[in-house]
Amino acid sequence: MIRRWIWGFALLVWLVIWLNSHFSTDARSVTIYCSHDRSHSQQILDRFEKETGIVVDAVFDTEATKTVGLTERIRSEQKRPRCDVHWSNEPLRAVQLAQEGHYDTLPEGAGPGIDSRWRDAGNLWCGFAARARVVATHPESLASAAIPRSVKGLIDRSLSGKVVMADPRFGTTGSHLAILRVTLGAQRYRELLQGWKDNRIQIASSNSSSRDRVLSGEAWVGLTDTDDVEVVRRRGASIGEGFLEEDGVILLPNVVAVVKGCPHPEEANELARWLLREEVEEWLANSPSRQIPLRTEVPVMASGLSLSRFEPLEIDWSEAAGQLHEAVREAERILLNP
Amino acid sequence: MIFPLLPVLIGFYIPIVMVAIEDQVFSPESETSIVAAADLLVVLSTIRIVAMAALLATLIGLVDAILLAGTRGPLRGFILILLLSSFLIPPAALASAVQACVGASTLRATVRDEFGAVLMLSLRWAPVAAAILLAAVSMWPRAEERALRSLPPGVALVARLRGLRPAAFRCAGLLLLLLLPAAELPSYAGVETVSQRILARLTVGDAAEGWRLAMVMMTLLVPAIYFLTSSGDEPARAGHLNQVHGLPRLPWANRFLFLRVLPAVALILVLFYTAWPRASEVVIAGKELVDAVSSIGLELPRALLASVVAILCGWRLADGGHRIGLLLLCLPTMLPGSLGAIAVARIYRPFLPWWLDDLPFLLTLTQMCKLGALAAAGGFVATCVLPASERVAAHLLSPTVARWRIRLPRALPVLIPAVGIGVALVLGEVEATLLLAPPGHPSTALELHQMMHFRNDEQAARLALVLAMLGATLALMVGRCWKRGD
Amino acid sequence: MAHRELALDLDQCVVTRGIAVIGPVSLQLEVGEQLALTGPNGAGKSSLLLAVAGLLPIQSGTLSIAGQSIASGADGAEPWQRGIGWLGQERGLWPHLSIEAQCRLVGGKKRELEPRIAALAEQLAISDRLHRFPAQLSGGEAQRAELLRAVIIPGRLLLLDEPFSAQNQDGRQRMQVLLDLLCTEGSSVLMASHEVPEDWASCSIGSN
Repeated sequence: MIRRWIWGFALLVWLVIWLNSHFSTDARSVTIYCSHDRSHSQQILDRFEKETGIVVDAVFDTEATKTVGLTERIRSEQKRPRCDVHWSNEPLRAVQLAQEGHYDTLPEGAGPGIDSRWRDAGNLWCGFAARARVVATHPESLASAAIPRSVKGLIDRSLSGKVVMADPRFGTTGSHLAILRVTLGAQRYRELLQGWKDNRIQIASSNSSSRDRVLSGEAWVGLTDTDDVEVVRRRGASIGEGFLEEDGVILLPNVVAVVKGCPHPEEANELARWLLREEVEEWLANSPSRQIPLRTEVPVMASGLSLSRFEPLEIDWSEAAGQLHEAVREAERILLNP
Repeated sequence: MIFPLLPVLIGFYIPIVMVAIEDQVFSPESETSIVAAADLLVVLSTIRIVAMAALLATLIGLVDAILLAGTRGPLRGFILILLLSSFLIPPAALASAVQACVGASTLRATVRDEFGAVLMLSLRWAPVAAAILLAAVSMWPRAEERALRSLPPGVALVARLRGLRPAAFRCAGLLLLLLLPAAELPSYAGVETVSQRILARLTVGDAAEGWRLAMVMMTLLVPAIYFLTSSGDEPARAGHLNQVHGLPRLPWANRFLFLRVLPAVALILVLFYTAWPRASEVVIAGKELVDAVSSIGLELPRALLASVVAILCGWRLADGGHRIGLLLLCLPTMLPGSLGAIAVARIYRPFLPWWLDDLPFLLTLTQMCKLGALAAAGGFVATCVLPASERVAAHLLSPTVARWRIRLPRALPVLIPAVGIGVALVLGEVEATLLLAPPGHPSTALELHQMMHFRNDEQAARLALVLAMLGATLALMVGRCWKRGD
Repeated sequence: MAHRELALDLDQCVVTRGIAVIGPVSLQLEVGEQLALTGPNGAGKSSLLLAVAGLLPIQSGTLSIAGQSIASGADGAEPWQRGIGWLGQERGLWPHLSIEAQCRLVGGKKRELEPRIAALAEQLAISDRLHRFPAQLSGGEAQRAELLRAVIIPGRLLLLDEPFSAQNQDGRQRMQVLLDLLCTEGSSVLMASHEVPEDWASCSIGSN
């Protein structure tokens, strides 16, 4: 009998704690869907919370291959949005959301100093703190002179079977391909893919997996992002990094947008404005993800990357987002289909 | 029949049909061929890989189960716990820990491609096969068990093997269904599965084609599931594991079992090594550990509830002999969890009262639907293994009394391990969690994947260790339940 | 001669079990009567009992229990609705319940059940085994316990399949005395057995 009472009491305590953890308090709050590195973005959101007193409920993304991510969640919640602010670490899918009407206009004056290349003409989204697409290289297998400076260099016969890229349908690799399709044109894009296929390009599950194949020496060159390279460098790994300067360096900024019909519009505007401040870019630039500030005046530590260091490719974001579907389908057909 | 199907009707079929209508998945304007030939090839290659993995996992599980149940030797309980608890550690966390220790987690080309995918899937799911088969062994009739113990060891093992064959076939069928939505492990091996392709369609806004592909796969597998749920002439069994008296001591069996758990031991050691905090991190690591335990503690009863309801529904359908019902229960398991979750979010969320929206109600419903195949198989095995004489005696009671007081308690040695596996699956689930969990809802598996993605290996390892400890506790409880079956 | 009430009336019943066909069988069992079914192995004694209990279908013929005609096929009364006490050839005690709990489950939660359980258990010499689980009983005790469970409701048609198979002389005698007693209070017994107890009527069914 006593045992039953103990179990009943434990259940009651659990129920109270559980309910308490799910029902929000009366405090002002804002919900953010964030696909940036949790460990860094959480610190930034904590600072916002401390500064403004607005409680932040964050939902973080994962790029595990078995998920479709927060972009799809925003789509599925269209009739009754739960998210106030969307912080995407990849611009094209955010641009698609803007085109589909999921975003509201950002507050006036948000993101001062960020030029029009990195923001929507209708002020539906604004970019900040970018990553660059790079090739990770295995220093012992590849002389620095041979590091490809263009995606076309990846079809060089000397690299046959030694180039790796992530699954082209997901994440920043998909965005990279869509941008290539816009800049090269459909025909030359398909020829490039065929060239990669003929050169026996390896397909890994993710950018980090591509990097790992380079680290292990199985591949000599891997298409990936700057943050994926930096994270292992900080752990002491020996890995090279080359920018695809002949094509124009592709920078993929983080994007902030306010969701249309969101439950806390006032707080959402406040958070969006706050995230687009210079300090946030500076924190991200100096974090282990080594983001590239989109304002040239933001100070960057010595080992960091600044915008002035390279010539970024001019990208028509709307066009690239519009071509994402075709770019991915063609990549699937040429590179992946049995 | 309708009552046990309610969760799956509400949580899967109704929203799926409504979304298919909304998205005009099968409208005349859609592409003429339902899926491209290349997509069909991926469907077939997925079925091939998964079928091979299910067979291999069952084979390994069968050997484990027979040796654990049919021989005696040192540390058997510990070996069982190690085997079963390793299932609760997400593969991503293991990859991360290995990477932190040896530099790279990348599989070498020799174990990549289909062979690597089959191998990884088999090794990961073999403990589940072993658990199901041990549950079946635990209901072996007393007289048969005694007769087996009087045989020479080799002959007895072969007799056990033959006795377990029907359960092994069903186990392989269950694993086939549970493995179909697998995408993560095959992707490590560089192999594409149909789940990945469906998700790829969704991520570029090509939802209708993703749905079509999913439906083709479901249609292809309907006959297989229908066959699996046919009632075979299962020999009657009843409870034994706690008495080892009379079982042979076979040195080679001991050596085999020690070798068999070596990978699990190695991986747990790697996790420990990775998780061990540096002197400066002790306080933070301690806090992380407390956070992890409390978030799992908060999630555990919910996972238990989802698993218990799902398994009871499966058992109720199997007990009533509703094959179509079992088929309907199984189908949602085969699709990526994201599909069901998106449909549920689109159809129900707009009309959900705020207080229900703040609770993980839809998430629980979707996760219950994902346990369909496990529930159906658990229920089916539990029903089959009830001795005919007991069933006949129960027939003379009123149906309600016979069901809840006789057949359900007798099914528990099979249903409890199934609930344990269900809890593990719910706790490790990320697809529906990512799409449906209310903001602030704790999810250890999701957190772990996020840590993994951004290479927070040490934190991930700590979290994975907590999950492994939980797995060990569940395995301990399951072991006790089998002993009580006597 | 006064018309006596029939506990069981089988008329030209044919039962199939797998490929075996049993019957046609006709028999009548009066209330309070004890009848032993005899016959060689495989003759269909157990199958006939299963069919009467509603656990095997009757292909043709008619069946009445306690004057109630029972339709063949799916429309027939469910086994639990036929007012039957059952003791099978194989042990059918439920291992997760004590003997007393099993008797209560079958007999309901009536207060008057307690003295009946005690009296019947005394007769079967298992009074001190009532709180035990089946695994804790010997073979003979388990068989007697199963009989106890089968007869817990008075006035039923008892279908017993080889009920003495695990009994020594004493156990067998105790069971027979109990069955005689039960018949005086309105029960009837149809038993499949190789050996016919003294004073029992018997009928034989042949092999097909």
